[in-house]
Amino acid sequence: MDRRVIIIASVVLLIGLAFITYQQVNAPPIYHGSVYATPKPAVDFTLQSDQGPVRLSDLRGRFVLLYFGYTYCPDVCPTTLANLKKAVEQAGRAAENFQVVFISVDPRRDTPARMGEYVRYFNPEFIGITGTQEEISGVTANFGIHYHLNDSESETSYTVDHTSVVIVIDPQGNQRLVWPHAATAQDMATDMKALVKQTR
Amino acid sequence: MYRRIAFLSLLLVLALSACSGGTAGSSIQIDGAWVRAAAMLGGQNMNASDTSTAGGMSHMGGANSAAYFVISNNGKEADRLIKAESDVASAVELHISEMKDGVMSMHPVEGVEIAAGGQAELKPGSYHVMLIGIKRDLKPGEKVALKLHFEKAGAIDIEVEVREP
Repeated sequence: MDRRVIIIASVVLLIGLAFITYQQVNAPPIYHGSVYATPKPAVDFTLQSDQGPVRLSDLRGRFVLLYFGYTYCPDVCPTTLANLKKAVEQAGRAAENFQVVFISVDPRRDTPARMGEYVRYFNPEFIGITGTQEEISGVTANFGIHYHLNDSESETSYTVDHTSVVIVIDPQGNQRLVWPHAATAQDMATDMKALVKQTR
Repeated sequence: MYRRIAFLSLLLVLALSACSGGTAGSSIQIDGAWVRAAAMLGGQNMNASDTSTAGGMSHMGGANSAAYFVISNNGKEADRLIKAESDVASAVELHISEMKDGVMSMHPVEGVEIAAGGQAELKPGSYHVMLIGIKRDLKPGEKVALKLHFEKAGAIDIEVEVREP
């Protein structure tokens, strides 16, 4: 075969490969949740942690991963918090740009001390906050979170129905992405890396 | 050749030992059992053995956990898990978590049905044994004793490993 043909074919092949690689690198990432078509500003709030008040807008500059639940929840909430713990570990250095915040939908039983103790069991960096019934109603409504305290014979051992999603708020304070309950730690870690890369 | 035979027999032995779930003689077999690690909450005296939790969780203290496993019914009739007991919790109930329009709700169930020749899986976000008001920290690697009551197979005792949440 003519040497020139081989050289030309190789050059064409290389250009093609470079083009495909370029396209893949620059393609917008496909996230494992619902992406807001236009980023929605997160309504600010202040709730109580055992280290003092926490205001959402004070966390600007980092991504906030917001999850709503309650500490007496035996199944659903610890599953999500354990997934978030694993996602933070798997995201490596990208994780420095994220703050996990767990908000109680059961303020009657969840004190700031209890929330703090509960989240730190998963990761010492996680923040757990609660407030008055009115404050919690306001915050959940602003984020589209539904919850309902179920009747029980006992004042202290009831269950709470609640929306189980993780809301991703970007460093500018906009809601960007919502992970469904079914999102795995791997899904979240992959998205965390992509979010940081896209924001850079 | 001999090595291959040795290897195959080893595999066979491993497979057989994995199958015997300690429930020999029963048509019910329990596999892959685990309990979610959890810490007692709301107590400065977390190491002190607290005997006052017997009546259920107090307003401030107490924490819940859950146990999960796969039940296989090798019998010719359907069976039902109707009750679970454990010393590690003030109360033990069979529960299910269900998703409706994105909202997770959890409620007690009368029992968990296992069809003849079928399986029932208790897993996160679905059926689980709820451990209400744990009496001590459940640390990964520890074992917890559970007694499971079946409608037909009767009571089965199992040892369950505590795993990371």
